[in-house]
Amino acid sequence: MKSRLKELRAREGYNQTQLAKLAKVSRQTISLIEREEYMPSLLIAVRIARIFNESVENVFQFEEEEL
Amino acid sequence: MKSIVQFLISGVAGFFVVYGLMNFSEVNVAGEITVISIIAISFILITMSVFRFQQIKALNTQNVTGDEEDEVEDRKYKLFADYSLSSNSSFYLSILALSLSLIITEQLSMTIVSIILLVFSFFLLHYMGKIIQYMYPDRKPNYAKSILDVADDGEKHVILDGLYKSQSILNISLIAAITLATVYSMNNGESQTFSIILMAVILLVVNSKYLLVIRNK
Repeated sequence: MKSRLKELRAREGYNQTQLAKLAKVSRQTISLIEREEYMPSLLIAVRIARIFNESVENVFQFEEEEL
Repeated sequence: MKSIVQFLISGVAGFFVVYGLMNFSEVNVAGEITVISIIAISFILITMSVFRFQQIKALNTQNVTGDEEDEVEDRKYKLFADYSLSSNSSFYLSILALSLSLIITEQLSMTIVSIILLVFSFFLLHYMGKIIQYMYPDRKPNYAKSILDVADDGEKHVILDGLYKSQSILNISLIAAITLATVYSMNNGESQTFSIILMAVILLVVNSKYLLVIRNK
């Protein structure tokens, strides 16, 4: 899974700490998702997508083989 | 895997050093050196914990924004992890120092110092909850819930990874300890039967607990 979190954060001018507060998770969770070391739960994925006004598929992208 | 191998090599090396000291010198002298060394290490670790706490407090007063804020948060997280490691290690080393001072040295001064260190390190461990509040003022303390209950998904992922690795080390090191205790008993004539049985029971209880939790889900 590829995540566009870093790119979208830069677009909106959020740091990890601010995004974490908005998504009601820890900064560590945001950092793990960005480093692609952890796949977020559906709830967190939807929350993050809403913050950026994007669809979940647009924020978290899967390779065809993964699906 | 590399750290497990390093841990085992250090453990085996430590065993042979103490084994040598016990065999080739006066037992009391070797015992006193061992207890004093453990007390010294425990004291250093307690000092490190206090120092880390001061650093966390200092970082908390900084007013930063942007990427710098993330760097400060990351630094605080690592300092807290160092604090936990130091205070945990000092607690267990103080227990070891206390036990050895009672069994080997039988010196009241060493026993008293060990007890003081044990109380200090216990206080530091207990104080961890307060530090979490310093670090995450938004989180309301809930002493009825475990760390796993209050952690979010990402933190749980990290905790699970850590617990899995620590469980593997626990199994390997207890099996190694049973082997070494058996070798020691056979060579030295001093039976370690009681500790061997205890270690085997701990292995049995810990692994059965894990497997039963999984089975019943």
